[in-house]
Amino acid sequence: MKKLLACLLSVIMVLGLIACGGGENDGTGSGSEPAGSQEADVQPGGKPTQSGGEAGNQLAGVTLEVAVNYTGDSLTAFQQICSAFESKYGATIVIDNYGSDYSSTMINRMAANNLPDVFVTAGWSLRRYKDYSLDLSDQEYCSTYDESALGVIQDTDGKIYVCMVSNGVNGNVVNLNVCEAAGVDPFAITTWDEFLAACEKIKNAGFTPIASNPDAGLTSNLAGTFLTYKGEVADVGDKIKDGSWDWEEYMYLLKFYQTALTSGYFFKDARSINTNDMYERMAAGQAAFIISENTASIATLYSLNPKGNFIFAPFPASKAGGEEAIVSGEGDAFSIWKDSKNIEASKVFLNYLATPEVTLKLLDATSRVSCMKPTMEVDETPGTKALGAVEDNYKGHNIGYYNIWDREYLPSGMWAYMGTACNKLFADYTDSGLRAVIDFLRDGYKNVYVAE
Amino acid sequence: MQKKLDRKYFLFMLPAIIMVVALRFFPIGNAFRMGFFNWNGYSQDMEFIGLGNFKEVFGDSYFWLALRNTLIYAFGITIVKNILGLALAFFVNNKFHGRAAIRATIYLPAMISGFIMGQIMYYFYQYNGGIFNEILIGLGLEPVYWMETGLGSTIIVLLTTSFLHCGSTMLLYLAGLQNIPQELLESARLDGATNWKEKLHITIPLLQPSMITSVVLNLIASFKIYDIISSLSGGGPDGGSTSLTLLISKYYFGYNRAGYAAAIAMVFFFVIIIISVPINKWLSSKKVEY
Repeated sequence: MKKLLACLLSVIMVLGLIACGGGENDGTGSGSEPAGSQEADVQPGGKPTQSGGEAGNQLAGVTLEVAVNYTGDSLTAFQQICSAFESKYGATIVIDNYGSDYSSTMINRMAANNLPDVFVTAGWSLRRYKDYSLDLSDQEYCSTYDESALGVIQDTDGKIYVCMVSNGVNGNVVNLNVCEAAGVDPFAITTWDEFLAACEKIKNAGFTPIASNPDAGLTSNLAGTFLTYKGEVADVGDKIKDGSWDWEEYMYLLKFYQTALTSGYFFKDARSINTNDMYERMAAGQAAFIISENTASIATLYSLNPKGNFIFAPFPASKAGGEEAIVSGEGDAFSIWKDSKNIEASKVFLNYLATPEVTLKLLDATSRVSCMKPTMEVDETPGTKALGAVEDNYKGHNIGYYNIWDREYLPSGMWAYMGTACNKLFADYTDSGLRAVIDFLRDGYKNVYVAE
Repeated sequence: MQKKLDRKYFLFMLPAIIMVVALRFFPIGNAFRMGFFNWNGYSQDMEFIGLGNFKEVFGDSYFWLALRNTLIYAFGITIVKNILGLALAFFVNNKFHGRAAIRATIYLPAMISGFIMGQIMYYFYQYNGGIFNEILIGLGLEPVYWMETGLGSTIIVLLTTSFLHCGSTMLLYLAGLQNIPQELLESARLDGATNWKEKLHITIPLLQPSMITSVVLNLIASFKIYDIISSLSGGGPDGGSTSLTLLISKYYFGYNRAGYAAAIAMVFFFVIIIISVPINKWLSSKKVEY
């Protein structure tokens, strides 16, 4: 009897433990489909709702898990958008806010093949998330994408896996007040040599020319202006893509930084400045440029110094006759897990995000640039203004608009190598240091190609 | 009869055994298995490459740098925290006004996230406008670029962690101090022992159980140091202050080389065992009874 009791107790305890572990679906919407298709309620393509927006409780009982990497104001804006969606459709949205751990958490969830219903692709809708994402090409908003967006998110077979309501745009940031005090005309800069000449004048005027800290953006985002864009010093785009590149031409970019570092154009402690500190110094008028920043940084700088005068600028060309460049990639972009049990409800949510009034709320906080035509027509958010000002400020310049360089040319995983390479460069910018950076990047490139 | 009883008790232990296997042995075994594959961390496909990752680990200069730093952190932080913790415990064990407030103040940083503390401490050490350099400039001295080199950054992280988290060590020693029988100390005083001799020959030897606990706990925690490095120095310059946990994270989630990261993790696992088991055994053999 005692033996039997012991066995029974053990079984009960084991079952209890298993039960405590819970299942994969925890909401009331687990496994449930929405009551009928709701796509008519939000007209795809970002146009206002056809039925007057009275969606009632058509998604009542559905719980959508949405994973994002937003922080601060962007997170608040997204939470408000989700609350409005819940009120309108009766669905429940559980926001997984992974913040700076987003990438690592999503990697784990992909490995476990257990993704949220909707997730931010953070620049990797094709290279990383494609195999886990639903093909959204038939959604009407896809027909409203601007060409600049299609170049970023459309696969070679024409498929689109993401609802991207904005572009993330990258270029240089200029402190006009510092330039003016140093007698530098930043709008006359067209090549990196002219940029260095401007740096010399700024340094002689008692300012630090460049506020940037070592970051993958410095070694990656402007690499195309040396290596792959029209009329530049090298043209190795095809080699980079097919995996046969030996990285020797990358020395052009490293030599540019070597000149800037040896000439004292960065802060003395550049190798250990953190990003907040970099913005603070730039906003305080200690420096003239930040190399490789997105449009959101303009809003950050103005929040730190409302009396400042900051503009967004294209990357200069590597030589006269080359193209200055602005690069853009996925901004606020959302995919649906292809094995989600709430696919239809997720589609409704993405259509909702694509409506101009909702998109604009998000862009007000993220300072990115709209990329769906109906929204672009009415977009006056800070990111769009900053990009629009480039056209006015740099009239007559030969500016090319490209996909973000590493996403176009390099395999997934290379971004972190570019970051480490930048740290290596700032730690040792002698000739042998540059050689070590090339060797490091070549090895990393081989490794991630194999892993991919 | 005895045999039957044992079997019955084993059944009661079954849930715990299942939990240990599921939550401890399975992840370790899986990590070991992953080390033999070339895998990006998220694909459903893995390529078996045998010992390739393990061979690569030993030729990786960043691994050796991170291992060196990890050992510096582990032993350095353990030593500094124990010295500070012991000194502070002696101090707050005295009776004076505001003692409780001072104890709480010393312990407070240990309750705040290492990431936050790292961010705060960054503004103490930064070259341009940092608090320490402002003090130096105020004294008419040249500012110091504290985090210019890898070793400099490593020492900064070591000292910062030790100072911020010495409160927990202090509590361990304080508990030990309050457990020492007063009659032993009183008889020492009657025999004419000075305050210093009393501490050196009676109090400190009797604190050995606290010391063993503190050394083991600090050593294990310091091997896994991650958060303060991440926010204070970022592991730089050029990996000069990175730890193995930071390096593993970088390879796994940054470089998308999960198989290789798992191989480093397994090597690290054995390094910890090789170091901590003998230390633990040696410390356990030094038990005191009173």
